[in-house]
Amino acid sequence: MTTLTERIVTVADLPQPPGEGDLHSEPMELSMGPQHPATHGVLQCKLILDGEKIVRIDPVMGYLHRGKEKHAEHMTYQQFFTLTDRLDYLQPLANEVGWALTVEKLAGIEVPARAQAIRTIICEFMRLSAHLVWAGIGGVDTGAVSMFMYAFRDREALFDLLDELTGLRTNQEYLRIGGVGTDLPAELIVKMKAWIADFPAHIDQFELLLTGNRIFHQRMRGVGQISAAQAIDLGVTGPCLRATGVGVDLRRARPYLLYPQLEFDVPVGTRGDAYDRYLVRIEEMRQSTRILKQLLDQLPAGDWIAKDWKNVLPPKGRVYTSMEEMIHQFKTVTDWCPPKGEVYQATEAANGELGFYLLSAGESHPYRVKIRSPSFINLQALKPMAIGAWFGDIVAIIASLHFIMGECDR
Amino acid sequence: MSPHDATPAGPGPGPAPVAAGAAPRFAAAVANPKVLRRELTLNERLFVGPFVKALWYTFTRMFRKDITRRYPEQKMEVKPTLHGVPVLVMKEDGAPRCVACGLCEFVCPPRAIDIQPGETDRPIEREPKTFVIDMLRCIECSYCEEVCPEEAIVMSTEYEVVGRRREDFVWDLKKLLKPAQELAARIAWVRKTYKRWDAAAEIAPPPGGVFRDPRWAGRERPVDSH
Amino acid sequence: MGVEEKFPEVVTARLTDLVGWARKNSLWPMPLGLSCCAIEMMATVGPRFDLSRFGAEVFRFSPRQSDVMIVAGTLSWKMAGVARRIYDQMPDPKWVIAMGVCASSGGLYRNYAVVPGVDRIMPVDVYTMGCPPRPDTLIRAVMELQKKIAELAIDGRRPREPVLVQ
Repeated sequence: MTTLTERIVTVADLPQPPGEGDLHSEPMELSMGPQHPATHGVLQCKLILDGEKIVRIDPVMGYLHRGKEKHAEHMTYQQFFTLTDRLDYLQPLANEVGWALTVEKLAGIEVPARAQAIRTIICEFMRLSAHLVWAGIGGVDTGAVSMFMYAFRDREALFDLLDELTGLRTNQEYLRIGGVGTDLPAELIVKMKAWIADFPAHIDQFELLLTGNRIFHQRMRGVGQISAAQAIDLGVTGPCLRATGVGVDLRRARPYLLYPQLEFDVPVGTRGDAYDRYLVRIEEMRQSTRILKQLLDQLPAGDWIAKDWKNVLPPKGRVYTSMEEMIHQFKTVTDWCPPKGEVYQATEAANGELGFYLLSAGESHPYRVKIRSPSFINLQALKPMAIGAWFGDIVAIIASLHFIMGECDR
Repeated sequence: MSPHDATPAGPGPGPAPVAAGAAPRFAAAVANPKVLRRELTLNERLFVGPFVKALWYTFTRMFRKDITRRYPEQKMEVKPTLHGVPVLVMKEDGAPRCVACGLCEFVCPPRAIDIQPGETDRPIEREPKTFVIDMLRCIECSYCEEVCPEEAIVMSTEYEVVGRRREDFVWDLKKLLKPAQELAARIAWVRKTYKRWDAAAEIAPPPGGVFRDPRWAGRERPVDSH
Repeated sequence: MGVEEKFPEVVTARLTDLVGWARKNSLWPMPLGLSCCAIEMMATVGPRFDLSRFGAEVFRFSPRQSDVMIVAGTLSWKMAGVARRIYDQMPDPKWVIAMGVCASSGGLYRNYAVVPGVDRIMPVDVYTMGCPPRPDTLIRAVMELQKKIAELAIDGRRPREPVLVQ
C-alpha cells in the first residue's frame, strides 16, 4: 500500500530504457491541464507514459480552491447557503438541501411536509440537471458532439422551470432554514408535470445516440474498471460505486426527506467500468422522473416554511407593524444561534455522498464546517482506473467519473 | 425488496407502469436491479444502420421548430420571481424608503452593500446619506429584499448589466432609486410571499405618518457618521 | 465625387472600418472555464441561446487560435499564473471578457485564495454582472465587446483617431 511518505516518482525512477527485444519505449512526462477541455474544470493530471500506456498519474488539484470551509466560520448559517450552491455547481439546490438538513438537525427544527416535498422535488430535478450536463459533456468527450445539444436542450427547459420557481437560473439561494424560499405555485406544478411526461422519451433519444453506438462502446467498455472491493476501499460513492455492483444509495440506506415513502429502484452495474457508470446514470435519470411523478401527483398542502417564530423570519406584515416581530427579524438575521454540538448529515448528491460535518459553539456562525465532497473522494479512484490504461482512455475515464472541481477543491 | 420498500409509509401510488412490449431495462427484478449490459447486435456492430438512424434523427430535427431565443430582439419573459439587480424603492416625495437600519448590509453574503446613515428633518428621521451597491459583488440572492423591514430594497427586472469599467458598476443612490410604480409587480410578489404561514398578517406600507417629537423642533442634530 | 457616385453598386469604406467589422463578427473565444460560469457559458453556446448568431461560437481551447478570452469563474491565485500564461499566448489583438462577479471582482470570495478580479493580472475589456450571469448577459457582453472593437484603430489596440472632415 502507499504510505504518506511516498515521494513523487520521476522519470529517473522508472524502468530504464529497453533492452534488446523489449518493446518498452522511454517514459515520457506529460502534463494534462489545468486548462484542458476534457478535465472538467481545472484539474491538472501529471501523467507518465510508457509509449501510449499510462504508468503513473498524479492529479494536482487546488486550482479552484476558494476557501469555503474557512469562509463558513465567518458567515451566518443562512449566508452559507450561497457558498454551498457553488460547491457542485451542476446541482446547486441539492447542496443547499444538504446544508439545510445539517443545520436543522443541529437546531432541531421541524420542517413541514410540503417544504420537505418541495425539497425532494428540487433534489431530483438537480440530479437530472447534473446527469444531463454529464451526458452532454461526456458525449462531447467521447466524440458524440450532438449529445451536447440534446442534453442542453432538455436542461434549458428544466432551468426554465427552476427559474420560474426561484428567480435565478443557477446558484439559486432558494432554501431557508426551516423550509424553502417561496411556495411551489400550482401552475408551475402543471408545467413540471408536462416536462416530466416528455422527458423519458428524451432519455430514449440519448440512448439511441449512445448506447448502441459502436464508437461509444469501444470508448467506454472495459475502460477504467475497478472492482467493488477497490471502490469501497477508496471510499467511492454514488453512481461510480453503484456501477461496481454495490447498491448503496443514501436515499435508501439513510433515508432523509420523503425518500422512505417513495418508490424507486437503485440501479447497479456489474463490471464497474465506464460503460456501467454511463448505464447507471442513464437509469438514475429514469428513476428520478419516476420519483418526480409520484411527488408532483400528491404534493402535500400546508406551509412551505416552518411556523417557528424563533428560528424563521417572521411574516413581513407583522414586521412592518409590530415591534416584537421587528426585533425577531433583526435577531433572527443577525444573531441566530443554534445550540452547541456537532452533527453530520449526508445526502445522496448526483455524484455520491455529500456530507456536512458541522461543529457549533453556540454562536451565530459555525465553529467549523467540514464538507465531505463526493467528487474529491471519487477522484481517488482515478489512479487505479487510469494506471495501465491507454492514454486515449483517460478522457473517457475522467468523463465517466465526472468530478466537479468546485466541489473537489472547495 | 429492501426494508424501506416493505413498509411504504405514504400513500405512494403503485409501481410505475411498464409499457407493454417494452424491452426490459433490468437484468432481473431484484432489490437493486442491475442495469442491462447487452452486447451489441450484429446490426450495431456493422455500424451503418445505427449510424444512419442517428443521422436521420438529427436530420429530422432540422425541420422542427427551433428553440433558439433570438436574444437582443426577443427578450426573456419577465416574471415577478426574477432576480435582477437590487434597487431602492422611492417614495412619492423622491426620498428613499430606506431608513438605513443596516440589515441588508449585514446579511449581504458578498458584502456588496455599503450604507452611511444620516438624519433628516422629515417625519421619518433616518435615511441613508450614501447607499452604495457594488454590482460586481452582488450575486442577486435576494437576501437583502427578504430581510428588509421597510420594503425599501427589492429585486428589479434588470438583469443584463455589462460595462467596460469597474467604476460603472458601483451604483449610488441616484442610480439605485426607482419609483415604486416601476417595481409594483415585485413588491406585490414580496408582500404575497413573505406573509409566509401567516396569511392574516396584512401587509401595510411602512408607516409614514409619524410625527416628529416637538422637542426637537428647530434643533439640528449632528449627523451620524461611522 | 467618389467611386460610389460613379458605380452605385460599389460600397467604399475605410480600411479600419472593414477590419473592425470583420474582427467583431468573427470572434473566436478562448473559454477559460473555471467554475460555475463555465456551465452558463456552455449554455450560451447551446441550442437555446446560440452564440453563433454573433459569429462567436467557435470555442478554441488553444489560445493560439483565439482572440477573445472569456474568463468564466473564480480565478484562484494558484490558477492565476496559468491564466496569465494563456493570455500571453493569445495573438494580438486580443480582448478579455470577465464573466460573472468572481472574475470581475472576486465576488463572494474575499479571502486568501481568490484573485480579487482578473484585472489584477490581465486587462479586461468588458465586465459582466451576475453570479453566474444569465446567457443573455453574456451575449450582451459579447455585443458590448463588438461595439468596442468597432471603435478601435486598425491595430486593434488604440482607440480610433477622430476623422478630420475638411
